[in-house]
Parts: sequence; C-alpha cells; structure tokens
Amino acid sequence: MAIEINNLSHIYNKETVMEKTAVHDITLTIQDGEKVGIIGHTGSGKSTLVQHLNGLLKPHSGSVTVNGIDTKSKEIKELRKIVGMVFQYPEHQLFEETVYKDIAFGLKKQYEFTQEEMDVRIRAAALAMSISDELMEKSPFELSGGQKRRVAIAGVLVTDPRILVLDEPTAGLDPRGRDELFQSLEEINRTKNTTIIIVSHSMEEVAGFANRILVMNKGTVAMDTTPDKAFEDVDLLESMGLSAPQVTYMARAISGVIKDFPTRIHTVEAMVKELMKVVKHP
Amino acid sequence: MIGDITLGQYYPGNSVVHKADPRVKIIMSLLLMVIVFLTDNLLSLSLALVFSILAVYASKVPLSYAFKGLKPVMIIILFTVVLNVFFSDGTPWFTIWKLTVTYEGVMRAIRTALRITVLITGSSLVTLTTTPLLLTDGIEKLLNPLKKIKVPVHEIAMMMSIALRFIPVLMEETQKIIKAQTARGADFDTGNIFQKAKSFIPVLVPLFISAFRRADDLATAMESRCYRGGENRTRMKQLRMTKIDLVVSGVFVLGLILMMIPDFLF
Repeated sequence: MAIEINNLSHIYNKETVMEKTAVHDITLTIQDGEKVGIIGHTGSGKSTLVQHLNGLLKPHSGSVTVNGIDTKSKEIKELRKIVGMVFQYPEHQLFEETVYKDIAFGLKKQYEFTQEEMDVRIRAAALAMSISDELMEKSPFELSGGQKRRVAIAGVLVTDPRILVLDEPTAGLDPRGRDELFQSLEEINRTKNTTIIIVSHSMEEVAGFANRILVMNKGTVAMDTTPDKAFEDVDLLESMGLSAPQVTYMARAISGVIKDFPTRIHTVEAMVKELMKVVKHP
Repeated sequence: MIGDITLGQYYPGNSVVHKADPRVKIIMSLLLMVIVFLTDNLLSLSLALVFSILAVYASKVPLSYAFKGLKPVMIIILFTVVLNVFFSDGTPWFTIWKLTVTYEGVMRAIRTALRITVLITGSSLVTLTTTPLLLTDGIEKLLNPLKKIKVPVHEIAMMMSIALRFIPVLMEETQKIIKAQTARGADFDTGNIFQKAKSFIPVLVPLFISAFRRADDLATAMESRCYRGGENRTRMKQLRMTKIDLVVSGVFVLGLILMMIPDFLF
C-alpha cells in the first residue's frame, strides 16, 4: 500500500501555441508513513506532481497508483477519501456560516455518518489543529489568518486521509503559527502513521520535518534522498535556484575556523547542540 | 468549461493589425458595422464577409480562433434564419408541409446570417489584436469630446480596464477553488439543475469574498499612490498614429468603398 508513480508526464495546453511540459517522466514510490518534502524552484513542477496524487490532474503518459487505485480509474471518490489535499492559502476556500459546518463539509460529502459519529470526528479534527471550542460556532471570516488556516486544514483532516498532501502550508504564517502547524503534523504522522507530503521552497522547513527529500528541477526529480545528503551538494542546489538552510552555510563557515566541526547541520536545534559542545570543551 | 470565454481575450502577435492604433481599429470596425447594417445588397454583404476574413488572415490569428466568438450567437443566427425562411411574405418558392418558403425569405435569411457573422468577426478581431489596456486607452481618447458635457470619460475607461484586467484573475481563482473543493469531496457534475446550482455555493462564496478583497486592496493601492485620474495624467505609452495606421485605414476605406459600389449600382 503506497503511492506508485510510473513514467509520469504532464503537458499543459497540449497541442496549442502555449504548450508546456510541466512534469516529465517521473518514476518514484512513496511508502506509508513517510514524511516527504518536495522542494523546487517556481515552475519546477512540484504542484503539478502532487495534483496527480488525488486525480485532479490526469497523467498524459505513465500512471499514478495510490493504494492500488489507478488515478485514471472510476474509483475517483475512493481515491479522494484516501488522499487529503491542502492547497496554497487554504483559508480562501472557507465558505460556511460557522467553523463547525465548514469542517463538516468534506465529511458530509464523502461519507454517510450519523450526527454523533460526525460530531466525534469534527471535534477530533479541530483538536488536532488546536481549534478551541468557542471558535466552533463563530463565522470563519471573523478569525485571524492563522486560525483560518487551521480551520481549513481541519476541514481536510476530518475525513481521516491516509495520505496528506500540503502545498506551501506555511506561506504567510508567523513563526509561531508555523511551529504549531508542524507540531500538529508530526503528531498526526506519529499517531496514525499518515503519509505526509509537503511542497515547499523553504529549506529550513523541509529540513526540520521531512525524512526524505525530493528535489524537483524543470519537471524532473533531480534528487531523491535524505535531508543530510540533499544539503551536502550546495553547488548543485544553487544551480537549480535553491539553497541549503542558513544554518548549513553557518556550519560550513565555522568548520573553516574550528577543526572537526560537523558540516551536516540543517536545523537550528542541531546547531545549538553542536555549538554547546564546543563551548563546553574548548 | 470556463476556458471557452473569449471575451476580452488577447491573441498575442506582431502583425500589421496588431500594430495599428486602437483608435483606427475601433473606428474602422464601427464603420464596417454601419455599412453592414445600411446595405441590403447581397453582393455587398458577401464582400464584407470576404473582407473581414482577409483582415483575420492579415492579423495571423487562426481563423478558427476568430470564429470562436460565433459559437454563443449560433442559436440566434439559426433562430432568425428559420424564422425568415418560413415566415416571410413574397413569391412562393416551394412548400414543405404547411410552410411556404418564399424567395424573399431565403434572401433575407442569408443577409441576416451574413450580417451577424461580419459583426461578430469584425468586433472580435479588434479585441483579439488589441491588449485590453490599449483598447480602453483608445476608447478614452475617442470619447474625449464627451468630457465637454461632463461625461466622466476617464473614470469609465478606468472601470473598463479594471474589469478586463480581472477576467483572467478571477478565472484562475475559480479554477483554484473548484480544485480545492473537489479535493474535499465536492461534486459539481451530478444531480439535476437545482442540485448542480447548489453545489456551486462552495465556489461562489469564496470567489465573491476574494473579489471584494482584491477590490479593496486595489483601491488602497491606488489611494496610497494618490491616484486622481483624469486631469494632467501622462501615459507610459502614448498613442501615436504611424505609417501603419495610414496604410491600414487606406486599405480599409478602399474595402468599404468597394462594398458600397454594388449597393449603388443595383
């Protein structure tokens, strides 16, 4: 049970003047419970790739299979239950009168539960996104930006997807909102073994969260590896319009001064730890 | 589904028609319309159609693309053709069941169909070969005399260009919201017409909200740059008549005269 992508290609505006190949001949497998970060320059095809996972876009050649369901098959409804998708600025999709109703929308559309069952799930999704009870009866349009974002994500989580795809989930959030969101995602991944795929162009974010990194460039997967390995070849990343996390650059600079200082550091926490060692044992 | 709308769509190109001044294009297409409505001569109308097809050819816009604007009015054309063919008085030609087809009716039907076709092709050629910005600039310049009688010409032109500018933006936004709600399990294709209309609420509410937000942002942006409109504003691209405009109007006037000749002769 996993995501299998075989020789996937997708072309926008096929057979017109504006034809553009967005994704070209991608083959990869993502196992259950993985935390995958997809990074790449604007226009590298990352959003196009993830939209194939729940059949919003269909392959022009090749195939995408999720838990045994081909995205080209008729079981598209089943597929959308398995794959939850959070788009960029998901708060722009809120429309109901109350937060509670908005979270319930996907659940009502995809399942036929009793009122009680629904209530349990809605409250669980709200809890996972730390939405307090007093917010539930408010209009979603009265909330702050960060709260709206959490409500919108709860609206996707409510159907309990096995695979959760998030496209730039932290764009426009403050550092605290970002940390909280990642904590919630970690929690979901840990407790339910949900596969989480994050599309981003912030290296810091991906480095701290993912255990596997896909680097996209010009519609192909240029690297498919661990964060450690991906950030090793800074020159290659930079040639694709990307960069390593800032602390990695810092570690490199320090290693020029202090012998044996490790250069494979990608998170602020790891950096603090290494620096403390140096300070304690000069 | 939404991609079929050609209103205000610009087809990029570098042809003579693209380069001509928008004022020239607007006036010429207006003249063409006037002539098409004044004349009753079949030969004149056919010449007008040939002329507009030649104009499309000169603009290097694919003919099928230029005719796309005809699709929505096809029903109107068919309707008038049928009515004219069967319900006109005149010399009977032949009879189907109880309906008599008259010679005059058929002629009138052909004339009406030709008229509408030329009308649509002519006007869509103007919007296809002129960027929205230039188009509203041209309209503003042409309406300038109306300022004397206190018509807010600049404001009208401004509203038009904002409206045209936001068509693609809102279209993209709609696609995005449809995708997001589809991913949440919304279904837009099944059910009867009422259920279908209702299923669009999750798209329309966010769309309206974002449209208002955009309007608000734009107003703030204009305000903070002290936008005052009208008086004493200069433009980055000044409209200037060039040799191309002389040639284009020359060819066009010649064509119009040619169209009118059969009208006077017969």
